[in-house]
Amino acid sequence: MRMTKARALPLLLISVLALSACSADGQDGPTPSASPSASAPSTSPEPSESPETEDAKPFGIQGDGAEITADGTARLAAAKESFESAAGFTLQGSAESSGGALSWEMTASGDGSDWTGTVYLPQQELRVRHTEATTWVSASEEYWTLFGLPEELAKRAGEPDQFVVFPRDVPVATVSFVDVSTLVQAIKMLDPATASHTHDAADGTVVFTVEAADQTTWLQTSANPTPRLEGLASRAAGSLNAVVITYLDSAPTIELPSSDRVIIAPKP
Amino acid sequence: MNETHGGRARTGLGAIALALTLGFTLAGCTQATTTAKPSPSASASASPSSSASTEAEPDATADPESTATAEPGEVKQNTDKLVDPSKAADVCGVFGALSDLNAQIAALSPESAQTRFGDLLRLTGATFARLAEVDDVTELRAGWQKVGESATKAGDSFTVFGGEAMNATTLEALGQLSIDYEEVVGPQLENVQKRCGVDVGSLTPVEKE
Repeated sequence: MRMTKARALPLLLISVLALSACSADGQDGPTPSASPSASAPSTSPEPSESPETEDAKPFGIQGDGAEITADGTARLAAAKESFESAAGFTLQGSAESSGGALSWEMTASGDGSDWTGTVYLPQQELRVRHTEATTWVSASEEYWTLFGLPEELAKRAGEPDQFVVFPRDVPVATVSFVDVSTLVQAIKMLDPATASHTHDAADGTVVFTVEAADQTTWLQTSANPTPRLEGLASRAAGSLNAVVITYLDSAPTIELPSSDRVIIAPKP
Repeated sequence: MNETHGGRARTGLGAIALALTLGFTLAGCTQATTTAKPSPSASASASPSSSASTEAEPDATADPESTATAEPGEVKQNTDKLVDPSKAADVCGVFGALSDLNAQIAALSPESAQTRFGDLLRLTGATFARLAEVDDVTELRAGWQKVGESATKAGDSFTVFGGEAMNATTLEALGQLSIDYEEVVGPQLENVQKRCGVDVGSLTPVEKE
């Protein structure tokens, strides 16, 4: 099955986030600093400027911020721990690159194994459900045609409330365009010690910066006494991706499609 | 599922539902080289009622293409039609067709059997639903219906998960089917033998401790 633009876009979203989160290993540890940070208040993950502008930063922050302190590292570690122990999340994401833009919203279990939600592409919406290593996607005939399904199958797949199922034995690369599991795991793999700078926002949130050779990741922690990871953004290869995290008291219940509304995705 | 697959000898229990569910499922799930091996007695169990079912519904076949709603659209496989016991006119016709279907399954390659597992589950569901309709022993109808619904549920789950049984939802449904089958069909083996001359128990491989 050929890789098409329709699939490449969301794939980029997740892969960039995952790569960014996982590749911070080589960073130096925390560097104590007493210098005040310069930041702008913002709770939005949306990039304030075009992602093509390399200096543009998410969460409304500006400048390089302050070097991280031991307290900062502890705060980030606590926020990460909060993320790791959560029962569930709502994740609101956006991605911009020279190839286009998209946004998405998923409700996911805390371990990232189950999720359901929608990916918003230009003039397209993908409804996605995932549980037990199986993914169901509902989209238009146009999308499935671009995706590479044979014409007749794309037509059937594009019918209202029809889902294409990607069984567990379908290679991960085929369904990674909605791979919230990878995103959640990538966040959990983040090493707080790799953060180098912080920005104290006026609203009390703190944004941490993790810089790697070819990408930068920002993590926004809450103003609560018990820090929570509330946002994540990453810039790499000319794209800027961001996610807002809202915590839930329980994992979502994934409603399975009806058996007569399911088409098996052909194996690549 | 372990409750019904392992454990004590099970010479008296069995038939299509178990052959379809446990045998094929476990073979498919474990990637074992020995897929469902319906007992030799399956093909030899063509009792008089088997021909009775043929007479009742000589063309009682199911087109898997029409029922396999989740098959990959562009891939047409296994166009051979399976016997559909649910098309039989009466109880003995249904059980006779079950015997024929079992023989048909025995002749399938492991790959074909696995590919058509969803169809087989749906056939099982329809078969027991049919029993619930036509059995003149009305007190048995609820049991047949229960097994039919369990089989249909398992088949639906198998389909929804893309023809995969290795997930908790489908495995649970298959386990429930096995339990319901044993509970409902097990006590009726002698009765079916008397009524229809079909040894339902012989349709299933013998399992020993």
